[in-house]
Amino acid sequence: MTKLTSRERVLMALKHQEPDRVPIDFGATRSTGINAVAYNDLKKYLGLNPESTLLYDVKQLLALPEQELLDWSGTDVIGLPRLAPSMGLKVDRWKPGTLPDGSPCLLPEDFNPVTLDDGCEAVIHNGQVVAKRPGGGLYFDEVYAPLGDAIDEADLDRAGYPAVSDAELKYLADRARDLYENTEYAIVGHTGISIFEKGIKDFGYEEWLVKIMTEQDLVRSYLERLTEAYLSMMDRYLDAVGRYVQVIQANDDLGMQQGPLIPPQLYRELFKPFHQEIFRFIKKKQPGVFIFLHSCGSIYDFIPDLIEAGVDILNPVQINAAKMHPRTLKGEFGSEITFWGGGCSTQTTLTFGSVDDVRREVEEMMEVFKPNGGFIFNQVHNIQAGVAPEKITALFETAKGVRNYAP
Amino acid sequence: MILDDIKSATIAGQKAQVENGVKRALEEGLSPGDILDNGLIAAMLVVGEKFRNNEIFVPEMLIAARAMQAGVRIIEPLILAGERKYVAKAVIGTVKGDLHDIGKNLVIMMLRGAGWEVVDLGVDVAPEKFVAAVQEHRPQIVGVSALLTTTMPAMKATVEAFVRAGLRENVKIIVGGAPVSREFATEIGADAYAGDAGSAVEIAGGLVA
Repeated sequence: MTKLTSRERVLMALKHQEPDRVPIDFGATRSTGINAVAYNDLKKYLGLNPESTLLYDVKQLLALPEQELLDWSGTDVIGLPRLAPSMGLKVDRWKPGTLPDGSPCLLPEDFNPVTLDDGCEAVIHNGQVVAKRPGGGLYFDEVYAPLGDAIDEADLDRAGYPAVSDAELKYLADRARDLYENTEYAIVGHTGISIFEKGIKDFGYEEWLVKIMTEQDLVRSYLERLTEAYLSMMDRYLDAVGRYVQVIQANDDLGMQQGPLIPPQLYRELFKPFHQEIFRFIKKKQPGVFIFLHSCGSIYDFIPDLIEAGVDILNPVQINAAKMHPRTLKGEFGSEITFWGGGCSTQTTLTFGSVDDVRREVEEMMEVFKPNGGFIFNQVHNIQAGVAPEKITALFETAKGVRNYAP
Repeated sequence: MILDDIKSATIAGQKAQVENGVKRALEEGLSPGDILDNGLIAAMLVVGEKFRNNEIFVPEMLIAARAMQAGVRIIEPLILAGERKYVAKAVIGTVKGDLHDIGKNLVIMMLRGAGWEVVDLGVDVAPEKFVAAVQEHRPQIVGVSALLTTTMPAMKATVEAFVRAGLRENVKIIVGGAPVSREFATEIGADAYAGDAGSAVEIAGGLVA
């Protein structure tokens, strides 16, 4: 086989063909990345300067991997983040700042949190506290649910629906063209499409889980509006960057540790039609693009429906959740869906295991997921703060060592 | 019979039917205690079991709990006049540094549903706050929740705070949350691990039996 570019390698894997080696992802999405504290520890370990670290996802405290680290990891994929990836904070202008561990980084210029009486840091939009991070904590959690007390359709206007501005389209198109023309990476377009999770944000977690049972008419109206907004957003988005991106990212966490979060039947009836409509639209408008769905937890019971809905790629493949046995997943669904993740469990092995444990798990997962393509190597979800550089090194070094397909 | 109606309406999460059933039961002369124990609590025990067995999921559990609460609201004033007997008392919170509360809230709902008195300490609860709450409320059980791997060390700190305060023998500590495991519970010196809200009720019951 002639030498493949990263983009070709990824596309072959997504078409369920065996390329020369299993593609690797290091930080191409907001669920395959690395916490900025762990990232700075890694940079120090590798002798790199932490001051240039870009905290592009303030909510999850994620670093945008820089070129040296992309090269170091051997990644074949790169992300095309939105202009304001988290909490409305634009990432086109930066200012020096520090991370919770005191190490330096660059922060979005608009990030100006205030400290509340309870010791939490808060992000405020239009006078409203929209997200909070506990003192000494690492993550912001969204705390503002505009539809928390929604009763009828008129109330649905209060939510903000997805959109993409002309300014953002220009920003995205410039970046996408640059990545497409000047790198060999496969490009993942971050869209943030979410049908179920957006409801959690707009209605509040508990209220949403109740309303999807008790007020399905209202929920359907909401989902119709949301879907319509996504369709017009994606129409514009794909016009601007569709020719450059190979993968479209979406996210909807449907699982808990022990099982499905919602009844699979309810997903099928209430949510799947909207997923299907959005994903069909995208594929019709941009043939050849692959749909990546991030969905945490034990989602085994949803997979056949997700495949029918048009999902091509599953992430993060939470192998330590109930019913998420790697061999079962690969055996039952491996020919129909690509597993992007699942390379090492961040909830257990990567965080609490030894370097050897990491090495062993990566070798085993590679062996399970590698055959016949349909696998992009990544750990399960983002690498968390406190994970030692030695383990992160073992993660990628081991993967690189065992990812070749037989010639 | 009316108690069976209340029970099945609660299990199905039919709030209005539960309210009507409870009112009707009171009119028919049933005692508030009887309605609570054999209607509402009996229902939530079934809900917990169905949840543990993956026959129902969080949304169904939530609407059942809300239906139960609606029933309890009607009879509570009548019970407070007499004496409401609780199974036992628990103090529950999410650990310091962690704002996630859906799992904790489910456990609280299910414990209350099973007839427990529960003090909810909320989220981002410091170890010393857990200790102070135990001194104040004297529960048999302390429940500690965490969603993040990065806040799991705060669970250990919480157990240690009880040891330092000389209160460790006074309470049984149950830990839970997505990244938490039975091995971790043992490692940090907790008494038990609960994998979900349904199991939490069963395990808590076992610890105070």
